[in-house]
Amino acid sequence: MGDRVTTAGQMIRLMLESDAYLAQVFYRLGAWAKHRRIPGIWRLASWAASTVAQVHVGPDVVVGPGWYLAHGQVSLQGPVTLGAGVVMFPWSSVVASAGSPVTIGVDVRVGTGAVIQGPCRVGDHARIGANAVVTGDVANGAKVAGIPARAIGAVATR
Amino acid sequence: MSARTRPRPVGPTKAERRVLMRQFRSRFPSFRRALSSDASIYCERRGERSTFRSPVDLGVQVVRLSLRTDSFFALVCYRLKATLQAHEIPLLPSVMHRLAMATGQVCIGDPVVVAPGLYLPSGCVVIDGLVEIGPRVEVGPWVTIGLKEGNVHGARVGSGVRIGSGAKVIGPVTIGANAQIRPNAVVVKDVTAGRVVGGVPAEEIVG
Repeated sequence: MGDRVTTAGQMIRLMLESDAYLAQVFYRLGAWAKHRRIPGIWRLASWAASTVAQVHVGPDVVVGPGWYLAHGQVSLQGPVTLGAGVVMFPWSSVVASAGSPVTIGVDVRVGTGAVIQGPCRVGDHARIGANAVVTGDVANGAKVAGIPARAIGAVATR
Repeated sequence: MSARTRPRPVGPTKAERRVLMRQFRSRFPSFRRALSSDASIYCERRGERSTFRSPVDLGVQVVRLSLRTDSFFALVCYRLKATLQAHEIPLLPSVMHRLAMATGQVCIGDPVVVAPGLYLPSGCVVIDGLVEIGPRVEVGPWVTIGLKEGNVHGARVGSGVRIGSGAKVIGPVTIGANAQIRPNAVVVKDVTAGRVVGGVPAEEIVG
């Protein structure tokens, strides 16, 4: 019981204090309602998320648990699957379409202004540099940057 | 989980953070001075009369710019937020921050010190961390001025710098006065005053 109260308290604090958490809550609410086939909520929640922190998430996107948006300002469209613990910085976007889906692994960091274009698969723990344009697969634990994105190193193993 | 077993949060404590925030806030410009310089640079870049005859004239121009331009109202919200924070008024600053984000997508963090006279042609900027922005700086849309992982110190942007749309300035770099950053550049190194840089990562452009 105490734990739940603490969690709820933290959630309310984050909604007030952080830039993007409120928008993320709206998105999750919309996704939940869509999954439960409750009409109307998805549209309203999407609109709220894009107004509050410019979080634009399309209907075919699957976002894993533990998504962190530094300030909001992201766009994900088409069939995109995000693993757990993905971190996205402002002005990054993921562009996919019916024939060219995007899969992003766990604990991936997408730098500010980066664009990930389908079809591609981004491996676990990968790091994508600022303003990179990813047009092909990224290996597990790789660091990529540039236009088009090329490997510039590997993430230090922990 | 009891209070005893709860892990201590990393980073500065609440009291330390309050002292730090007070230090930045003492350097925030006054609302009136900031607003008149902002309005002046907006008018100047839009090719309009940029000197104001009286406080009433300034007020009229602020309302006009808020209605006419994409980002001026958001900038006013940011200036209000900074002023309210400097006076340590609770809750209202976060309302102003939300308003700035919703109306002009202007997201400027609490510890950022912005000198009077900031020009945002169309809003859409994210600035956060221990960042200092000099006077008469122009920041285009989709620009991020942010931090490198594990370092709370951000950029020091000199006076008269122009940052092109989509450019990113990351980490504790110094950008000299009147330097220009080309669109979509990624700046991770210092930029000498008056020079032009571009590319990923940004290099000096000669000629």
